[in-house]
Amino acid sequence: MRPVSIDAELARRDAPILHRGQPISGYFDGHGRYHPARGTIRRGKDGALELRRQVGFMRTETTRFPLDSVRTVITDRKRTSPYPTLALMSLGLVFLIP
Amino acid sequence: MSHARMLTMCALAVLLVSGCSRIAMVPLHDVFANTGHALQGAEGQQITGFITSDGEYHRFRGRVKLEGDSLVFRGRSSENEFREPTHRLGVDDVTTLFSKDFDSGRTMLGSFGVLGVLALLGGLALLVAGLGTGL
Repeated sequence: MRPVSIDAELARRDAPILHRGQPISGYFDGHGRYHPARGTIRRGKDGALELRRQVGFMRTETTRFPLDSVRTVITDRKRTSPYPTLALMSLGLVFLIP
Repeated sequence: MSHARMLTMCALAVLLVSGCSRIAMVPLHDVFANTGHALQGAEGQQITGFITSDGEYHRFRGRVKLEGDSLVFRGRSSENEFREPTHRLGVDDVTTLFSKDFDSGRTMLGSFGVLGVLALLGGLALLVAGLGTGL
């Protein structure tokens, strides 16, 4: 989990939110309240924020927010479980190293 | 098992475990509902940042402690955006804290457990292979 300020993101030219979208797990509104909302958020052509969520097989739902109603988003940092890596590398060490 | 292999496995375990800590979100109303929370203790709570009542995120690596109706943030000036070692805010001005997740200790124990089981299985496999070849 990584909190990201919307204002800071919009100021960055290469921010994902301005291009392909930023995967999020929730956001904080202008009153500091947290709203769980999994999906991909990006800025629309009219400047509003669009949250796209998968709601079924091959179906997405888009919710639009005024720019000032979302202040901070919680982004999903890609994480991998250490256990499969640990298992594979340990097996490799046990069997392959003479 | 050779010393080199054992050392490599230990180094691998430390490397994997060192990247397991993660950030946890702590809503302040949950903290106040729990009277024994670290925020109310002498040392305070270790944090990486917080959300103010306007929804803005503020980076702050350090500790925060509840003092009366205020939250007192203490840390290095270089590791927070206020550029000061101490920052004081009203309790109503902050809604959420971000702290290092305490599950990293559990992850460490789990990793060493998995490593131990795998080493045991590997040792048994080598033993069986040795018996099969008559060594």
